[in-house]
Amino acid sequence: MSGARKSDANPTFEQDLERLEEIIEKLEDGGESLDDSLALFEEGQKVLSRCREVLEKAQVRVKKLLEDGSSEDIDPEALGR
Amino acid sequence: MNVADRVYGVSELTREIKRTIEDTFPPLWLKGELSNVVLARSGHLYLTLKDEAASIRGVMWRGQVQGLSFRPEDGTEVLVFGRLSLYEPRGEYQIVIEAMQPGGRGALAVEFEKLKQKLASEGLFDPDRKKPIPVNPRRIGVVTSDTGAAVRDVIVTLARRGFDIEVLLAPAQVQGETASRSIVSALERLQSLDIPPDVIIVARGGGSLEDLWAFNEEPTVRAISACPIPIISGVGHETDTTLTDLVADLRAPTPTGAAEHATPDRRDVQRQLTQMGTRLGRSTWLVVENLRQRVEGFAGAYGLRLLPDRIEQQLMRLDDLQERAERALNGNLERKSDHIERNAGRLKALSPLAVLERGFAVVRSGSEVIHDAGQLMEGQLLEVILKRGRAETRVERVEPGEGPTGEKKGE
Repeated sequence: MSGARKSDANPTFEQDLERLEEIIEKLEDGGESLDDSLALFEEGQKVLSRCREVLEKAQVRVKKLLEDGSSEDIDPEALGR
Repeated sequence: MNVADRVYGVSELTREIKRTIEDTFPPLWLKGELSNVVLARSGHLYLTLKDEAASIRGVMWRGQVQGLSFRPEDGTEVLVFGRLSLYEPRGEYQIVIEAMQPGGRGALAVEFEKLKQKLASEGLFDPDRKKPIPVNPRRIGVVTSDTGAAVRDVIVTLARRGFDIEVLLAPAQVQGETASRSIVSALERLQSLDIPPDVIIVARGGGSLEDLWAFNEEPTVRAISACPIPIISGVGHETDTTLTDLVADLRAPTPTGAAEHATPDRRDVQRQLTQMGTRLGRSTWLVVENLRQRVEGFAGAYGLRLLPDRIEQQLMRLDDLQERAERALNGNLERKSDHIERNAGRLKALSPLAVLERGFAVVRSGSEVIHDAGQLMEGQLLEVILKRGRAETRVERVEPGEGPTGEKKGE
């Protein structure tokens, strides 16, 4: 299970990817009505844009756990040397 | 110094030397290569232990020989425990051996095999026990020494690939007596976090069997087996196999390899998203294109005219849709703005079908499409064209008036 369980209101990146694939497959099958196709397209765009945002932020945080239970942040760039 | 003061007898001297040797050397561990191994009829074992520059005689009494778990042979590297003594009749010093075991690499290898068999028979290495590695972990735990190449390789790789991750480093000793305990403790620390990681990497750079030994020790292996979080091992070089590698849920050849398995590369995901964007646009485009073709055929067959206002709204939506679908295709098609215009025209022809889909019907009398109830008479035969199929009906009652969008009579 990816992290804490997320409700539908806040889908995980993984859930978004799955939903996007689902939408695309429905549209590719071509069996939906025009209205539903439109709705799917719009939802697809929203989900896609959410995913792109996550990728753009490219957040990587590194924490070192210390003996006393606390943690300190590490800069991954600094380790690279 | 009065050299002439004392004249020793041989026995006397020998006795003193013996005493000196025995007093100077307590029981000790000695390693060397066996040679001249002779098992006498008495059951006692006589041998020589040597290395590159020297050799020493050894003897093992029958009682101890019987307890040996292996066959001592010339050339075997061994580790012996015994005390130094001197065999007076021959004036030879020797080691009286209490215990002997295959030494150096051999001893560890034997232990490795024994533990491997024991744990295998308990099912610890069974493929069914291996947990799947999450595809998009958000939190990645790392157990390794916080200095050295391994930690650097892992973290740099994770940082290069990841796009939304938190790396939790739990430093541990990876070599020596206390290493096993340290690794177990690091694993426990990660497990007991308020929000534990989704996957854990256990890593160590290359080394000899001795160097990697902590990853073969029973407590380490059992802790990994018992851990509810999936574990990827990246210990040593490709050719090293430790019991940690066997018990882990996924085994990577190196620490960098382990990090690669722990998170997808953001560039691959980027590519995937672009592809999905294209598919989204294309599939929507095709849905609309499909409709266009059906309606063109339909319109051709029935000679339908454009219907007014509320249909215009529908047209605009479709126009908009195709435009957006077009944009989502990232301009990959050659269809540019002139094509959009051409298709906008075609889209207008789409409207009747779109309307029919929503449950409206087309009503005809003969070849003429009826828009206005005022055109009708009671008893008149009408053709009703639906999305699927047609019907012939007769007018029962007529009510002239305004249309749904307020068109005037006779329009």
